[in-house]
Amino acid sequence: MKRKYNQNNIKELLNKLGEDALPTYSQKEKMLNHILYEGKLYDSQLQMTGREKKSDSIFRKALTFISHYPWRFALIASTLQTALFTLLLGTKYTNFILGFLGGR
Amino acid sequence: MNVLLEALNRPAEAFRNRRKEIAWILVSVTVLINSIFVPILNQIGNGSGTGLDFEVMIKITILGYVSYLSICLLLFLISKCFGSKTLLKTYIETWGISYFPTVICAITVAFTEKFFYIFWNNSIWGVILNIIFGGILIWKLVLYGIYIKEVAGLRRGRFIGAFIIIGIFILILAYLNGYFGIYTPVL
Repeated sequence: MKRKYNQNNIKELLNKLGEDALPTYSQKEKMLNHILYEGKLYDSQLQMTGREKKSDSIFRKALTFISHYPWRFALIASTLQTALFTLLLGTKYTNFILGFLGGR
Repeated sequence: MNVLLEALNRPAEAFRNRRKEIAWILVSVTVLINSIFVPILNQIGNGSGTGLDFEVMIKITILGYVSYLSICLLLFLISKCFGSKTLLKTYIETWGISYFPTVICAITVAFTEKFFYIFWNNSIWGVILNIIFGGILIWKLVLYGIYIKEVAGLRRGRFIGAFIIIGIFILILAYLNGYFGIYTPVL
């Protein structure tokens, strides 16, 4: 009798452990969102054909590069514009931007 | 921490997942930099002994949040005119996720304002600050575009129309922010 009681206890314990390992509602929702997002990307890639595919994929790659880690794109673009205009105009340009955006 | 990194690196997903806690943290940090950090920084080394004006600090804090709610209302109204079905509550809960560059801008402006004489005519500081300010502007513009696409759900012509018209109103709100004494517009 006691042995059976112990077995039941162990079963209950294992069941509880199993339940705890399951994802919560919000975690499930996040997983679903992620899968839908990936699916949407995959689907749009599948729809592209021929010449359209080639040009579209470059455009799409550029958009993905910008939308993932947008600060990285911003930093690259800003460094390029700063280098170009500072070489052309010197401190006149840096002073102009500093005066315009730097609070004075 | 993961949520913060998601908002930083994959903002489109953060907008979709409605990370409202991140939104409110970033908005509050921007407002508090404007209302508390800037006056404290201005007091450092200030020999006049006027002290901190708490009334102004409270006024700027309230105006900061008012500015945030105004931009959300603006985004809601204009996007609605262009056919968006997103609710105002969603804009209030998610627009703040785009405030990473605004926080960096607020800190940078606080220092450039205070130590202007060091940076003026200095080519090295000029180049560094130019990269920062340019980067902030481009970053915010990218986030603004992603936001209209993902949250307002506008595409092609509607996207371009809403992008331009909201942009014009943002410039007006930025001017009003400056007029009311907010150094970095809470937009």
